[in-house]
Amino acid sequence: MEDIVMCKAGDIILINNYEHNGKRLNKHSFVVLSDEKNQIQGLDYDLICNVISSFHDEAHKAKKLSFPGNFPITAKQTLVKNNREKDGYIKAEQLYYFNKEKIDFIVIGSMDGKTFELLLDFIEALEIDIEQIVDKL
Amino acid sequence: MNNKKLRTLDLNKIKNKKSTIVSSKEALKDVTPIEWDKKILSGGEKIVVYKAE
Repeated sequence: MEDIVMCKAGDIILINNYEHNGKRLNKHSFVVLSDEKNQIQGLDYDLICNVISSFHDEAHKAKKLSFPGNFPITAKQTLVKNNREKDGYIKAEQLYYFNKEKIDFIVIGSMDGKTFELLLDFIEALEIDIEQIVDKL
Repeated sequence: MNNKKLRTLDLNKIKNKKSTIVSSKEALKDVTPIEWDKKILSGGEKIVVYKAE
């Protein structure tokens, strides 16, 4: 039996290629919003996440950041001296529910504590519809 | 490294919002994955995510 990778709220995880009934998550990155065990629609989960997306270009960036559910972020590598950054956004209105036993993932970093608080506040204050993704359970 | 346990998403604040179940295929259709450096993918380095100004 493979060891289950540990992660916690605020972590950034990368889910490796995963196929099930033709559905594939192609190395998408997620921020862990909650690591508490619960059930949704009778299915066990222990992670709730938001997906992180990149921008194609400046026009795409302007369009995406005009949507009320998108939370702008920048990711910095911790050891690189020139501090390379990658800009993107979090689709805060989408909640992905996972069971750690059913996904293959690695922890690639974390969200800054203050930023994580802002993201949770942002999600909890959303006035647009929430989308719940549960087909990986 | 900050090891302080962070608060988690308050589901009580979510449950009263209107929500729909969507497929992961539908949800991810316009998501473009960030391409991370090899050092990140190998675990040799970590990232920290901040809110962009």
